[in-house]
Amino acid sequence: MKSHLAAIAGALLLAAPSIAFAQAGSKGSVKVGVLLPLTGNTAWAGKTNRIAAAIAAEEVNAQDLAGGYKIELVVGDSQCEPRAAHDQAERLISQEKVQLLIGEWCSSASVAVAQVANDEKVPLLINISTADQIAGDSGPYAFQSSMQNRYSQEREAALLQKDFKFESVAIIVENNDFGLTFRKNMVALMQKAGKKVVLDVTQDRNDTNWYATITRIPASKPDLVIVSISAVQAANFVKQYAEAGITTPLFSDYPPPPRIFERQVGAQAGKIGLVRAAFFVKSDTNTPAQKEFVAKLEGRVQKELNEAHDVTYWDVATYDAVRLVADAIKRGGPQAAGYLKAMAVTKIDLVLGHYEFDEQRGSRPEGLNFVFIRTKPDGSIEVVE
Amino acid sequence: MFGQILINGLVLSGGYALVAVGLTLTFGVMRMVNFAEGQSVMIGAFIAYTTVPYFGYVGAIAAAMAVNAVLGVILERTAFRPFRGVELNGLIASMGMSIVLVNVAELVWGTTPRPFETIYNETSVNFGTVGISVQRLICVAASAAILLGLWWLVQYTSLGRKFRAVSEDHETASAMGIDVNQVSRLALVIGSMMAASAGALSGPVNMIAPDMGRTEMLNAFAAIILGGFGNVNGTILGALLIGMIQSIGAVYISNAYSSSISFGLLVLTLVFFPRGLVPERVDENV
Repeated sequence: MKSHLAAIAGALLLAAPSIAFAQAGSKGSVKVGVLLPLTGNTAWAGKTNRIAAAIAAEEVNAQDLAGGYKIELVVGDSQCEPRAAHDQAERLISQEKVQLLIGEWCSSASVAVAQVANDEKVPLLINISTADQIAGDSGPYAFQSSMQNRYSQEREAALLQKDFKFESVAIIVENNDFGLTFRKNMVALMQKAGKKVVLDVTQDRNDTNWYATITRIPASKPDLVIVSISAVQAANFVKQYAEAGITTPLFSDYPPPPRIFERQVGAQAGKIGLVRAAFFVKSDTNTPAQKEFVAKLEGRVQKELNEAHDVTYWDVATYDAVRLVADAIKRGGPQAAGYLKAMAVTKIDLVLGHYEFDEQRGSRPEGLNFVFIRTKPDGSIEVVE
Repeated sequence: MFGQILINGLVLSGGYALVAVGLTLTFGVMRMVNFAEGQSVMIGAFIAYTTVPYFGYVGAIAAAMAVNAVLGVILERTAFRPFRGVELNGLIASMGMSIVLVNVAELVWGTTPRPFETIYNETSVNFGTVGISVQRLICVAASAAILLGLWWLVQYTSLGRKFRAVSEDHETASAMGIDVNQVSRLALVIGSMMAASAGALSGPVNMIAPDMGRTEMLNAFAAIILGGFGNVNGTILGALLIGMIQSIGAVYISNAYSSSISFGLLVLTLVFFPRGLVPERVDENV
């Protein structure tokens, strides 16, 4: 009898993965639209983000993490541009018949997508854009799982006051939703701390010529320069800052992707001693889940794109977004009403950290990772704190 | 600070002028707009970036121009010659080629922007409180030299006379024994080579990426329209104005709307000078 029971138990154990596999999809498929920049100046990130999303969907389907539903991803190239993002969101909803949306990358584009999501009553998870209150201002169908600027800037301002000696600052940002909310928050935080803002400049997002802006820095004599500029433009800025020979300490918001940025302008950033924020840095201190994700994604990128890749925050945030969507489907089903209710009470630990949402459908910042890094003169990275 | 503003404006103007004059040359001879000129800038930058370890910087610029000469031949055969006389089709074809070139670049060099470092980036000359890299000064000098060379070619050589003849009346030029196809091909080749030089010269100032070239293209069009479409001298003047206005406007007005300032001025200029600052005089055109 005992041997029979053991045999049955053994057979059940062996069959468990296939039973789980069979369950995923037993309630049908859910089409999830993912808006990513696959062309344009942020395509460098969108291509690996897509792979991260695909890995998450495969895991969800293999391990039945969406409560019997199979997730089917449909990707739209939203180019980090509001108009393209708006059009792609419309296409995914009307032609591809997606039931749920994830994206976009740039804040201004996410604002446009949120408008479509609310008009069409399709739930949206904004997973990367960090401008404040995108979900809160756009209506009940949008959630924002990325840490909003106001939270990250509070941490940045605290670090600046702790580690830098300064009385005056220059604040330089891009002229878009992302940069402008950073500027608003940082100016308020600096003034609250009694610091003087001696230069406050916004620059067109597509204008690669930062030199004109940089020439204004010595004349205004700030003790510290604070920038919030998207990844590629940040590389142009640092290159031109170093070229101009400006020695004023430079602090950057989180956009420059660790290591990728160092490969581009590590020498210049090291010469300046650039300090910046980061939501995720591949390092020995990563959690086991983070190490596992890094290994999976880097191997897959090597295989699919034939290139070495250093995992970025944006990859992690995209992977986590698919898992968050699956978790909400599992608890509330894919229909908008149940899904939104389930998403609102999310409590889950994923690769980046612990996710919960506040009343405005923005993520609570307490559980999410946030570090500060410095580029050393040899172009390598050290974690400041 | 004015020295930096001036140099910055000249760097911008030089890049715009190289692209704009290439466009004007092609338009003057073929009466068709090459919408792939901006992507030719990008290809030139990547070729120079790839070859600089083997040939040095000057050799890399030459290599970029050589590769783009071949690209010019390909463009002429695929996007222009089949559509001669049907300008709209040619326009769409060149737009299509511009997309193909971006995709080719993404396949070959990937989508992650790359730094194009030369030894001239690392050396800066101090003007007051701000340094200017030798690379920027090279940009200004080389752009001026190339534009001067093109002016000489158009004004004083047999090929230049052929350019001007075809530009004035391609049927009469053909009747006089000028090979219009060959002249058109050479116009595209030279235009493409100038785009390569623009990419190779300005590439080290910024990151290079497959989507670069669009800003240069847009500003080059503004320069052409401002200067008077089809006129080389007017185009250079237009490029100089656009670059300087952007540089001065960025410092003294706002860098948030630098493009709006220059394009706003363009619109105003066209209100008062509908044919541009240097109105087209066919005998002066290429």
